[in-house]
Amino acid sequence: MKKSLNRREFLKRSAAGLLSLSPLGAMLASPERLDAAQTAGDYRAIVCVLLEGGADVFNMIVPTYRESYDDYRAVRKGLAVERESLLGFTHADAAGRNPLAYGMRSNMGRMHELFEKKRLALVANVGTLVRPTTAEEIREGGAVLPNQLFAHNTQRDLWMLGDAKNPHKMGWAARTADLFFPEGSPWCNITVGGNNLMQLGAVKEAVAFSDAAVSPDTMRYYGFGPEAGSGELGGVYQDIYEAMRGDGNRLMAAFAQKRVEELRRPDLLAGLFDGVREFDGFSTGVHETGVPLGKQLELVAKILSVRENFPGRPARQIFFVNHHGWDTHDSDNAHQTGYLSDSLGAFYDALEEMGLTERVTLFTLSDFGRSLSPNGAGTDHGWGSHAFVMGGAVKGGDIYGRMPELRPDSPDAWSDRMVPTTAMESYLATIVGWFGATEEELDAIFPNLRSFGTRNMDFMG
Amino acid sequence: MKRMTSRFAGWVTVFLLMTGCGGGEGGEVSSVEKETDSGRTVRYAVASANEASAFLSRATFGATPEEIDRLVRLGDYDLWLQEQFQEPPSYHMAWAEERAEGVGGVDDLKDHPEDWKRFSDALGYLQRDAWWDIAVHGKDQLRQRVAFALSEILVISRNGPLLTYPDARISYYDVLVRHAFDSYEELLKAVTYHPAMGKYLSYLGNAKAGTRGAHPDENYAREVMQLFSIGLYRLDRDGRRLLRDGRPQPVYDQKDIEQMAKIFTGLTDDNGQFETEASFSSHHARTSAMVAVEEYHDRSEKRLFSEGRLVPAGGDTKGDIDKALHMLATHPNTAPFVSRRLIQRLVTSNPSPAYVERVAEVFEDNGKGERGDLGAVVRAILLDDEALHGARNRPEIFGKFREPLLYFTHLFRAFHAQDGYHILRQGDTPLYRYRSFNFNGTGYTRQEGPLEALTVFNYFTPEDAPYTLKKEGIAAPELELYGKQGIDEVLMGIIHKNDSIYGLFEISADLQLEKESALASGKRYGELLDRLDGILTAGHLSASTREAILSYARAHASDEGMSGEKMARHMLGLVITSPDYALQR
Repeated sequence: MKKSLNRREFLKRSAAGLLSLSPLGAMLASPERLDAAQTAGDYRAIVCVLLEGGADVFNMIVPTYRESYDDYRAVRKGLAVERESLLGFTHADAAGRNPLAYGMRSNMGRMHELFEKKRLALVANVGTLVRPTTAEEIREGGAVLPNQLFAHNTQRDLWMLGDAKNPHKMGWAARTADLFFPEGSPWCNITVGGNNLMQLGAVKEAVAFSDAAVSPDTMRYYGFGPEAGSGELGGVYQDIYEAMRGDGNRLMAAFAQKRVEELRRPDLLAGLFDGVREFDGFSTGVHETGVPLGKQLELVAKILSVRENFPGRPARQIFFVNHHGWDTHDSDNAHQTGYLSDSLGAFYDALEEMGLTERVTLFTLSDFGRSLSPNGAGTDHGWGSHAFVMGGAVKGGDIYGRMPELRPDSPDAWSDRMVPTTAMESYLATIVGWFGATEEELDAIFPNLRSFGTRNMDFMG
Repeated sequence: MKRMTSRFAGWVTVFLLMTGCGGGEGGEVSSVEKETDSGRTVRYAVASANEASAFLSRATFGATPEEIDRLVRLGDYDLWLQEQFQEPPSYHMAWAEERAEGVGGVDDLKDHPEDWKRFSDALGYLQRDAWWDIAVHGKDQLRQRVAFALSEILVISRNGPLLTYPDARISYYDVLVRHAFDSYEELLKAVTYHPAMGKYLSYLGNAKAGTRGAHPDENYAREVMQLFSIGLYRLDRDGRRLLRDGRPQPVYDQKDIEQMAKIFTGLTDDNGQFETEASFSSHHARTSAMVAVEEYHDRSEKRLFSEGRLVPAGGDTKGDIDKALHMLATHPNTAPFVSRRLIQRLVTSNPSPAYVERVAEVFEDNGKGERGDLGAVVRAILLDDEALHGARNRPEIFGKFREPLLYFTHLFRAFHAQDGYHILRQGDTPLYRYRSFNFNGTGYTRQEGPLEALTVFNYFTPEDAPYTLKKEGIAAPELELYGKQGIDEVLMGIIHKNDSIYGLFEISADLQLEKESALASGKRYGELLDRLDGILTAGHLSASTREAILSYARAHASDEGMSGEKMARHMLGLVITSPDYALQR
């Protein structure tokens, strides 16, 4: 993808701390400056799956090797998964680290299969850090810690901002989008999981899709809503909202502006879902909170299937998916892991069907990991946790970073929580680097990346 | 429960305090005084029908033409509030038990409480239907409106472990109704001991370290502080964060959480068994205050907060919990924290610090030396100069976006939606018959329903806003619920009686639009808009919106098939989906 002068300007500006670009300029600019020939051969997308609530990955990936399983069993007590039930895999990285055997929960067959096929990688004990930190430093009182560790919203926000040290108002996906599309592309950031901080603040707001967006007929009936504007009432609606952009009340003006942009979208939406592909591998799961993960990933797959229809055919897209229900204070996560695994498997199948496995990378993040020891039936808020990366471009079948020892007296444990041994920046920058950002750009997107030794974890091909 | 007697006498002192503070930022008078016909001086006089309409949008589930007229005739906001404080509470459990009449051999629910579990899938709808009926028809509008606000602060939800326990949810909601004007400490206690909260935040069956788990569950310890009382950072009395070296200062750390977690050990539901698996086994256990099983309570000393407050060793479960809740209720953060949240739920998303401080003062002392008197707090919020005259004095920032639920309660109330008899079924089996709207919610994504937040963080957090506002430090939390599909479509579906829209199948909410239709038939569009403006937008319908709707009406007046009623419905639809309506001010 061609670099534009604007990207350098962006870097200068962000270096000076001036990240805001003129919204007016952005509106006037056309996103169609990227020509189709250029984009067709160089499409890449990343799909962020938020496991909202703090996923207990320590009960998804279990050490099975002798003492390490005994340690796990001792600390996890009643929550420990039986060794015999686990889907085993062995692992030794190039440096000979992690020479141990692990297992996934028995209902994670699809993820296990993808791991064995080297399409799924595990990133060990990653989390929010201000600077490299050890449990010992914390105990001695010399550590600088992220604000409000263990609180859902603040920790999730840090993950979404991509920085636990410097204040930001824009999310890291928004900063990434503005690098690739300095004048804004309405189709770069797409959310099927609702509003989120990660995609907040780009020149163009993230586009929110739901199931209804795929068949907007009912909306057209009245000429109302985001898909409308051309119907007879819709015209009136547009006039109303356009005029209110100038209202003296700032909340009103901002809201009217947002709606006007949504109302203009119908022209862009026309034909967008022509030829949309149908998939049959996705399920809705059971006892779901919020929109089921399978439905969200199915919608991402559908959007990917018509990506050539998108105006300007953006060569880079960032999707946000939100899988609720991981705050397991009162249960282990058995009911969720099987569904996560099946949904990821179905999504991989969909990518394969479309020939997109090399071009789309899915990765997980969560508020935090969970406490090692149980509080009875579940676990409490923790800190470091493992993450999953999936796709054809992933050097899968491997564990990246260092697996912690799951013992209360482990060198990585602080008061029953795992101190991250890999910073989220190292993890995210590896993905955004594959997405196409240069080293210089990565420092602009993740200003605190340079505080950590690892800039690229090498899990992307 | 402490009973607040002679509350009104205490308020006289409160007025003086508030006046002494100088009222609004711009030096505006804090109220309009005028003499009534009887010669009585009215401190909070109703200046106009539009102002009354705006007041009712904050204090009720939506202004109606009748209530606007009544309030104008009453002439005094305070009098209206006093009437409302005296109104007997509508309890949702009582509603459910009285209304749900067994059919086809099924017994009435009140005689067979265990059917709550047996038919829990179906009875989830009863919780929903009770809420809609009481929100729309309840006479205790203020109490219900405040209870709803509290349900978005002290959150439990159908989503999660309470999914199959509608009776627990209804019973919890009644706690909010019961204590809506009580002291915050009493409310916090009632909430903490309710088994629905115990189950939702997993401290029902929470045992001291070493008996069940390696450490007590920290869930409630964290959220009761972060979300229900003191928040994350030290606050000034006006609700702003106190900074040190430019940084906010945390009120507690993980050690405090661990200490606090020890407090909330030993509770289980009233079946008395400590196994969580055995919990919620009866209607009684799901709806009665939790009990202590002392052997599971951590009796060691608990040191709370950096200031070193102490709950001494040896205390029993309830003694320790009551002490800790008292500490939270009297913590200096709690008054501004709770005051600001309630102001945001009822009046405006971005209150001035001075407004928060005035309300926080009343929270700290209702004038009789009593703390946390929610009735007095609600009164201070609604009668504050910034609430009554914010649209005039702070036009650039005043107001809040309406939540989807409140669009519909307002629409149903203002236009007297007619409900109907429905039969609640489990699968194909008919169970209960009762009148309801049978209204399913607000759209494809069901973005908002009573007690249906996705997490304990509610549907939105208090500082949420689209980026253009957020970067300037302006909050517009309810906009989190906009931009998802549903609101406009469902509104138009109801207004145009199109039940092919998701969630409207078999809905009973026929709007009564005789007056509006008559005006439209006579092509008196200006008058119709005046009427809709008065009821819905409290006189804030802008000239541009008005003109856009009028031009539409004039241009289409003679369209084939256009009737007065159809035109009235179009115009109502345009007003209620306009930005002018979206922003309550």
